[in-house]
Amino acid sequence: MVKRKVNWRIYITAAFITLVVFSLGVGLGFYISNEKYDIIRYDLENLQLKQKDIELELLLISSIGEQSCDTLKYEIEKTASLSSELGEKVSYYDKEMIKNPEFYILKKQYIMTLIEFWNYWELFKKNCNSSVNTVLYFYAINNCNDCQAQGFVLSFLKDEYPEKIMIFALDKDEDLYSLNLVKNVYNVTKVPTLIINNEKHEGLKDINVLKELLIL
Amino acid sequence: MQIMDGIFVVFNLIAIYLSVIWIVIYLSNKNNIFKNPFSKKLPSVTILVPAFNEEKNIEKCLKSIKNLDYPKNKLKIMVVNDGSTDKTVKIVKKFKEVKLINKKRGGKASALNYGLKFINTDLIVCMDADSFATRNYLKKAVGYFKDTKVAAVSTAVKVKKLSTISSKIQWVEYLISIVFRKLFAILDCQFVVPGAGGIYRAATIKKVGGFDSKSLTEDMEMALKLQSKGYRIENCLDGYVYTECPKSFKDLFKQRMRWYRGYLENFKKYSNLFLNSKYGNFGVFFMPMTILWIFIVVTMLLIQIGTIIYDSINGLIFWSLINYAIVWPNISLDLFTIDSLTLAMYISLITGLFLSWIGIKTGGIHNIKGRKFFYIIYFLIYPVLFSFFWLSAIILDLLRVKKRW
Repeated sequence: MVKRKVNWRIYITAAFITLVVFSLGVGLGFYISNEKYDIIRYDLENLQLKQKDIELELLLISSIGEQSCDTLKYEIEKTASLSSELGEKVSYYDKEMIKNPEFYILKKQYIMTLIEFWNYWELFKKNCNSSVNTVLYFYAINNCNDCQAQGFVLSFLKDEYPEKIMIFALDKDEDLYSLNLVKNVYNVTKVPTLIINNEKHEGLKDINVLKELLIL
Repeated sequence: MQIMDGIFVVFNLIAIYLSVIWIVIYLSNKNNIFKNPFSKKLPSVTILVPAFNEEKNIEKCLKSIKNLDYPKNKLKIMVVNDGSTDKTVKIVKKFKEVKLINKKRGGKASALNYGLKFINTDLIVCMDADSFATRNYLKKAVGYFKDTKVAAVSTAVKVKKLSTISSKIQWVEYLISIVFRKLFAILDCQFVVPGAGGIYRAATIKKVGGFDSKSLTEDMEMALKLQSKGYRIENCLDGYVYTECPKSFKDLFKQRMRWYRGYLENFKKYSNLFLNSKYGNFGVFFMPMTILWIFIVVTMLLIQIGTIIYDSINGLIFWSLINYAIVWPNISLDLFTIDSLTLAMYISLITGLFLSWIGIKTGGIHNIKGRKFFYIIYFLIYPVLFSFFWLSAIILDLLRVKKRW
């Protein structure tokens, strides 16, 4: 029998084209990913700026003694919606395969901003007799199905009572001094854990339980 | 989830590579795929029609053969009646030029082998009774036999009746296969010569011992046998033969179980060709590619099924946590809801669609218009259907369920 032909040239050409096309695709992926990174960075800077502004305002209120809680409430709520939008973007981006390597720094900055913001809320509540619920929500990205469920319930609740609940979602596994401090204060060891108005609640909570724990 | 992403990337890469290979072959042969070699001296041909209870179709089939544009002194028609119990014989007897041979029921391969004994022409055409040929198909195809290495020529098979969803999907499937058969032929990788008008060199078929009557798919078995013995199988891209296809999904399932289990059976039988460079592209490319492709298709289906089950259970649990309140999914199409990797992965979809488009354009040169709906249902249903059939065939094989015709 005659030895038959193998068209290696075709296979090699096709492999080369595939590689080029695939690289273009991955390149596009990287480009989009970078665009998202830039958006997150911009939003974060914007949020930090607003927060600095509120910080200054709070300082003025306590030193001058001026009572302008209504304006402050309006401002702090506006900042809150910025913060939660950014939060969604961060969590979408976090799940992606192609990420800007500097994202982890951005994420730490975001968490710090969030803790800071939570602190302002507590100050605001104290100074202005507000009854808004503050919820610190500790989650983990990997191997935590309950966290996904808890996140789902919380965002449903937030949609139902947008003005009565402030949620601060924190990645428990991030290593930050400020985060560790908060974790130590409330002795957070598991996920999901909720700190609702300074009280710790471990494990997945459904909507009925949450409605009892919150002041609505 | 990261392992899944990895699998996804690799599968897509392979899918892109396979598509690109076919696109490269198509583009580099675009100008001569429709050119058939012409032979001045036409070979003598016997058209062999194996028939078992074909009273509905055989008349049309025989008429189309009678009408073939081929010298009458070089064309013989033979019907092998495989123990029909209906009016098949009566209908065949109306055609004076048709030689009728009766035998006891033994299946298609045995009918073909039986007919082979009475044949003294150069070529033999296997024409299923539920098919019918276009007038000039034979003349276009016989030129390939000038090359003495060529043992068979496959045709361009199209689906005729389009009454059901199932047949509409198959219409597109067959249409796309037409160009693929040519591309396979260019690489010397044809693995089946369909019984709808497939042409063989009679002496070669006799020499290799005829059709295997034990095989589920005797046409594929013959093609692999010819490949393994170093013969070539050519394809005539514009030699159109029309055929019936299963009308219901149930019948389609039965047919595909026979085909795909026949596939597995034959691949096992000819596994010595696998990765064997002695057999050229067939051993080095076609067999590994097919196995890889089946593996990918079945794995993807299993992953999809798994994901759907997991997601629905999870969804139900999540839903119970909010007291089954109605939630409107907020579908927003901003940049962040689009995963950049998935977007990059759409390349494989685009290359696949491009390839299908080449198939539709080439195969449907005469009747491409007015059938957009067919393409839509094809692209929506076929991939899932095809994967499901393969999965079922593999499961039936693993469970050793009895094979049947």
